[in-house]
Amino acid sequence: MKTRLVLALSAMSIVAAGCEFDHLGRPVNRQRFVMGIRGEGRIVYAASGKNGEQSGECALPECRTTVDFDTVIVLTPFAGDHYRFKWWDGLPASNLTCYGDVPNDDGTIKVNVAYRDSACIAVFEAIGGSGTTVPGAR
Amino acid sequence: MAVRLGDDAPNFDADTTEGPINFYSWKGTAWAVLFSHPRDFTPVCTTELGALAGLKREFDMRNTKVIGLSVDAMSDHRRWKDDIKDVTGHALNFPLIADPERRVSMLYDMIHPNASETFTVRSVFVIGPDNKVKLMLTYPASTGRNFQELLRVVDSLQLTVSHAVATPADWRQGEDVIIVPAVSDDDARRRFPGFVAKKPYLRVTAQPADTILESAATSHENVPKVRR
Repeated sequence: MKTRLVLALSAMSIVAAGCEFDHLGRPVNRQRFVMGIRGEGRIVYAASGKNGEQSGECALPECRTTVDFDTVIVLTPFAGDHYRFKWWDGLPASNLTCYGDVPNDDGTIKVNVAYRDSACIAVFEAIGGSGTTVPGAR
Repeated sequence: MAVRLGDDAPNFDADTTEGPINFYSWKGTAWAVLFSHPRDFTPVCTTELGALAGLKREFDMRNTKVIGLSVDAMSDHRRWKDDIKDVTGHALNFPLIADPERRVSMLYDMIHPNASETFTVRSVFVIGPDNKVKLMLTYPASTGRNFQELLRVVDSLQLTVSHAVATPADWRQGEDVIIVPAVSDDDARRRFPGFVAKKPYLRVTAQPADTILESAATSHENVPKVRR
């Protein structure tokens, strides 16, 4: 049985970002983590941390979350029809970087969210490079 | 098992930003400062590593090598270097160990589970030429270290291994020192002429002249001396 959720998807504004500390210097705040897509596709995520696990999907340009300190999130990109996964990007406009490990061959990436905010955006590109292609069309 | 003062500093092989090293081979017969930080691309750590890079010359003057460590990947270390220079003006000029498997971190007990089960705290080990642990400091993630203090303790350690003296509270390079109790008054008069006995157990003398180090970090300081 899953315990308390470690990752709370929210359409609301993001809570205060960054890492704060208790009177013993331990990090107590939760970090900001944004996942999302560019192009056509979706991300399947599986998050685990001290307080439990949560999994789900994100198929929006930005799925904003807050995450318990030291949560590990595994992100797997699934390209839509006629698209393929290209790379993981951050959100430069928000000064957020994708601090993930080197992706697997299928693009799966592991992100350990602690001490710093992060954003991982899956970039999908159209196969053929000129928009959606239709099978069989010439 | 925890590393303690006087223990042999555990030897290890590791990947660093300056290539793979064997710690003992890298260190040789110099002194060494081995320190950990919690994470790359975080604010306090960025200021710390820049501050230390700015003092590298001072550590060199003291025959002291500096090496950092975190559980981040080498690729993160390499990317983070640019930020350190950008923010602090000091380029990273000492090796950083990438310890994602936490082998060295565990060897030196740098992970304190009640602070974080995954990331190293701000540990500092000063290791002597004999590879023994001479000093340990532990700071939490929230508090950046004072690297001038680290220079100060290196000065004290190097002074006190070569002379029968100890350093008082807040001592700094060039200030008076304490004659250790093991030295008799007769011997003290011969070895430290002009010493002052504030108490029978507290005898103060000038810092031995051959140990006074004039450096950028100390020569411009104007701190009150211990009264003799």
